[in-house]
Amino acid sequence: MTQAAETTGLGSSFSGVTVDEFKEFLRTDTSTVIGFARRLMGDDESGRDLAQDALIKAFRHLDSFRGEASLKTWVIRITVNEGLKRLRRRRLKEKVAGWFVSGQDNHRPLGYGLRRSKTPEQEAGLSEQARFLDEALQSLPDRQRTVVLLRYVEGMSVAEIAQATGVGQGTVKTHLARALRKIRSLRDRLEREV
Amino acid sequence: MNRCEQVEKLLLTGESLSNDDQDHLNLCPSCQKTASLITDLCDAGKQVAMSDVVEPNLVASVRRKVLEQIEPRPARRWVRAVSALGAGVLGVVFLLVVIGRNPQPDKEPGEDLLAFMDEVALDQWSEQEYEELGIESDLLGEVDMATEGYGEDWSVPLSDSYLALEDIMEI
Repeated sequence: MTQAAETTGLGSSFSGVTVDEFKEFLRTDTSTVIGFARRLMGDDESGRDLAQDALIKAFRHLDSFRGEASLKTWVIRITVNEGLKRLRRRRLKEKVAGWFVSGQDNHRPLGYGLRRSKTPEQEAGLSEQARFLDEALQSLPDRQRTVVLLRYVEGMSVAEIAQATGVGQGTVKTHLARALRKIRSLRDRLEREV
Repeated sequence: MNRCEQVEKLLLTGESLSNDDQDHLNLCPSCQKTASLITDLCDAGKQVAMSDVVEPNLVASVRRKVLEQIEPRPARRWVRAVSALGAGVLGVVFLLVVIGRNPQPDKEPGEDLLAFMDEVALDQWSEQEYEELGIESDLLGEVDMATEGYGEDWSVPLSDSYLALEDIMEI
């Protein structure tokens, strides 16, 4: 089947990625996208919705995929953009709700919403380091948290993160360095408390 | 302890350290702490990625919903086809109703043309109309001269003058 013949009701692929290739990507990488979306949003339901919407959006805009990055990186980029937008909206809603409920700014630490509702078994299975990372990520702003997740959990290189977030490699390094400083100061504080 | 940033970015990006950087790392407690933190982050990240297994049901559900968007189910296609057909039939019915409300009166073939010709025959030709036809007023003067002296009854309607003019031109 030719690429041109593979038109669907929603869009068509003329960018080097055929519908069949996208279906294959769905078969192999859906769990990766869901996992990342879940970690970014902080809960299962929002993560599932984000992954689903990002995959549909990716398919609808397949013709804008230029093949400069891998399909996975491109889909992650869509997930990041959409996820950050939703987190911003969520935070704004919480802020506005806080004003009406308590009459004051219901401020939460930046990065609120990352922690997933883990079962005790899952919690027990995590090492001290993993628990610390989980805690530390909660203290980071969205963009810093995103690059830390992509770097240390998804195992992406700086170049891949730059492609996935649509910023330069220098900006990625800066975000990573700032995140690292915050995590390090948090660790120092915890060590002092102990 | 003051934080040293000499090899921080290299450690962050995972680039290999030069001999000098490695020597610095061996001697600098701050950089050692940074390196240790990054190692911990890498290990923790791997562990989180490994432990955070996405349930197969969830994967299947998301995949199914995405595939539904990519390939509409036959039932949906069938519904769309029926809807399109229904819309077409409704359109045709609407057109028939509109035409039925404004019936065209029955006419004999060529009736309109005959009516038009009658109208033209009854029309009085004015000088302006001659001008519109491209006939110069001088020529009209000649018509007057040609008809002069043939009795008072030659003061004919303008339409008859035009017929006379046609006769002259034929000559």
